[in-house]
Parts: sequence; C-alpha cells; structure tokens
Amino acid sequence: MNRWKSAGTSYAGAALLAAAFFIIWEAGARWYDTPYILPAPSAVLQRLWELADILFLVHLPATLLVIVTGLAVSIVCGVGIAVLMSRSRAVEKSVFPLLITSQTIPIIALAPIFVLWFGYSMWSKVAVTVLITFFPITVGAFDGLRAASKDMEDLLRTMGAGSWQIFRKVQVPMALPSFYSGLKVAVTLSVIGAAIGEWLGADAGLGYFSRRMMTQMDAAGVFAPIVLLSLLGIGLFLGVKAIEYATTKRGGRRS
Amino acid sequence: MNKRYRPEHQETALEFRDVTYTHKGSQSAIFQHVQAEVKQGEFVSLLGPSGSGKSTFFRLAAGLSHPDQGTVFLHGSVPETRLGRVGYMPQQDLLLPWRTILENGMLPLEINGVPKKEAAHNVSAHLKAFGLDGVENQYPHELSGGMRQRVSFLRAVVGGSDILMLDEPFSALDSITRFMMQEWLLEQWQMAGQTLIFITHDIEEALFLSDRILLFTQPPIEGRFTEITVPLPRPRKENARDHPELLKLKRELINRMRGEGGII
Repeated sequence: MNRWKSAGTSYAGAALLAAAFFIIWEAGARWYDTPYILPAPSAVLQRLWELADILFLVHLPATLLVIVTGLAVSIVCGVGIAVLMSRSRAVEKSVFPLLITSQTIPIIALAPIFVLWFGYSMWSKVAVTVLITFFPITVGAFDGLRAASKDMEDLLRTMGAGSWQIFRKVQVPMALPSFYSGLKVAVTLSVIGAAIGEWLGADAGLGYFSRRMMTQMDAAGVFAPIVLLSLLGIGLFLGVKAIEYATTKRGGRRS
Repeated sequence: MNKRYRPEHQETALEFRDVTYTHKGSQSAIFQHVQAEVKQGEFVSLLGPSGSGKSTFFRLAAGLSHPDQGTVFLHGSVPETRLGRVGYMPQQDLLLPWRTILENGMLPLEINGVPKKEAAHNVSAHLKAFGLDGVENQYPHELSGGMRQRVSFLRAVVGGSDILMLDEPFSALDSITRFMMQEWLLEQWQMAGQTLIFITHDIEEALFLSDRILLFTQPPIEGRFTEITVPLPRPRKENARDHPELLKLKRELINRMRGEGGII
C-alpha cells in the first residue's frame, strides 16, 4: 500500500515537472512565433498526427527492425563474451581492456565508415547500434556471472556438481538482475544508436525522416519522429522490466 | 543406538593418514603428517580459534582441497573423488534466494540427477522433523536465522551422505536460538545416527554436543590432535549442560588453550 502511495507521489512530481516544462515551452513558442526554429509542442503533436501514416507504417518499423536486430546481436555476442570472460581469467585479461577501448571510440565518427562498408542497407545502422549497446550488456552479464560467491560454488561442488551445473543452477540465476540492469541501459541507448545510424545514411527510419524534415525547414516535422523515438525507448525499457519481472522469481527480487 | 557410546569398536568413517598440507602461496605448512580418525556414527567437534586450520580440515575431508602428502580415507577406502560423498553445512546458510525452501532442499538431489517430483517428495518427507512444514513455499529471506540454518541442515541431510560436516552453523544466531538449535541438532542426530563433524569455537557447545573434541591450536599441527573425550552418556538432554563433569572439563580446556597460546 505504502509502496504504491509513495510511487504515486514520486511519479506525480515527475508529471508535474514535465507539464510545467511543456507549458513554458508552449507559451515561449507562441510568444516567439517562429515555428521553423522553435515549434510549439501542440504543433509537434499536430504534425505527428498528419504524418502518422508514413511514420507508423514505414519509418517506425524500419527503425524497430534495426534496433531489434542490433540488440539481438549485442545480447548474443555480449553474453557470449561475458561467459567466456567469467570462465577464463586469461580471456578476461585479454578481452576486457579491448572492450573498454572500444567505448572510447567516438561512434558518431565511425558511423560514416559503416555506411561506406555496408552502404545504405540496414546493416550500417545495425553496426552502430551493436557498437553502442553491447558494452552495457557485456559488463552487466559479466558482473552478474561473477556475483556468485566462491562459497556457493564450493558448496555445490561438495554436492558433486560439475561446472555446468554450477553455471546453470547458481551463476545464471545470480547474474540475471545485473544482466537486466545492463540491458535496460542498452535498450535506451539502442534508440540513439539506430537514430545516429539513420541520420548519417539511410533511406528509411525515424532518424532519417527527422533529418529530411530538417532540410525542409520543418521543425515540427523534425520533432515528430523524435517523439516517437523517445516513446520507443520508453516502451523498450518497460518491455525489459516486464521480462525481468517474469523471469526472476519473487524471492530473488529483494533489495 | 547403544553402540554409539563405544565408538572405538566401530568402523572408521573418515581417516586422515599422514596428511601434510600447505596453503597455496604460504611458506609454512598448516598440517604436518596429521593423523586423525572419526568413527562411524560419532559426533566429533573441531575446537579452536579462527585461522587454526579447522576449515582446511573440512576442505580436505570434503575433497575441495587435496593433501600435499598423505591420504584421506572415507569408510576405509580412497574414493576417486570425495566431492559428493560428504554432506556439508556451511557457516552462512548459503540458501539460494530465488529458490523456495522446498527447492533449496531439492538442490543436492537435482544435482545428482534425481527427478524433480521424486526430489520434492523426498524433501517434503523431512519438512516436519525439521520444523519447516508450512514454509516450504516461502523464500529464504522470509525465514528467521534459526529456520534458515535448519533448511541448510536439511539440504545437507537430504544429500544422503552419512558423513556430515557442520561449519560453525550456529555462530550467527542469538544465544537462546543457539541453545535450542543445539538441542534440536542432538535430537536429529540421535535419531538418524550419521557421523557428524562439527566446527566450533565455542567450548561449551563443543562439550555439550560431542563424543570427542579435537583441539586445533596454533598451526602447524603435527601428528595427532590433542583430544578430549566427553564422558557424558547418551542421549543427552538439556540439563547435561550443567553437569559438574562438563564444568570441570571446560575449565581444563580453557587452561589448556591458554597454555598453548591459543586465543578463543
């Protein structure tokens, strides 16, 4: 009961702040009255409504496909690398520094190269998304896999468990919370990754559409797909939370 | 039951023969040519300060560590591996927080390939004796410390080994709960009759529970352990705690530990 109540008040605060922000924006935009530079939120919503068909039927699916593909590649590779690193100290020592180095590369500078390599196809965007999302996934999974204590492993060994059983019965369940934390960061980043990729070279997608509107000095048209990208990020985040809720049991969810 | 009072006539459950062991990276050995036996059905405590090698003794017996020299026998022979042959109840309960009490109890059975249904049935049969009926579908954090230790003990018992090793299982409990758990443990053991090896740094606990106490003093330990036989008869009841013989032994033990420079 109290939990719901306190959650209600904290969300009420956020809602109030957002409302204040949009009201000031709306008022400011009307006062400034230069819609091709600063469109009012109401104008953005109106534009979103006008463009709904093409945004929802063409560009949103294109972006979603990039995001889902990119995340899938990141999860498979990231978790794979995390498992290898957790099993072998040598792999960890040789791979982990490279992982960190990969994150110091300004991805936005690399994206044009990807366009050069993969062309305007989906794969240049997927490459940017993977580069931006696999790091939190790998680190989350790796930290989680290391969370199982030595004592726990020893206990299972005294029961006669082999390393595969220890992995399945202790390490994997132990790693899930940390993995999901990484995944939540990754899904929100994935939207950015896809948008950057599309911005730099694409023939479909919300990022591409936003840029095209830019060239037409249609500021409300620039914002409309951005609103969708943001909603997409929130939706993905909530989706991960739902999966987390379904796959981690009640007892494991204590603070 | 009667034969438990005369353990010297029974088979050896665990034997350390000429065991030498040095911790990895350490200069000096912790055990040197150590010799020790535990008889079938005996309750033996390992008493000593922390860092005196009690846990190392456990690890060697359970097969988590291997002696540099010498041999560890289980029931008079040297098994291919001791892992899975000796039940172990750790100091922290180490229950898996995402598993219910029932599922935690089933863990050793699952690992040994027992079908889930049979494992659940097997564990359920023990719940009542362990004072855990009604909580089998709860999660560990919903239980008190004493109850969690009982689950941990249940898990060790269900594993089916007839040698059980308990590593300071009650040290984290408050004194009332600890007293009750000690008496409960005695009852369980007097019924089931496994071989129990019990680590403790509590002299009174060791005296009340054990047939025999092996004293762990400053390492290295060489040859045989200093050993104390508790002369009280079985089955023991709560009032055995105040037996004059125990009080005398306790005094003697304290003096001896002092004399050897040990700190308890």
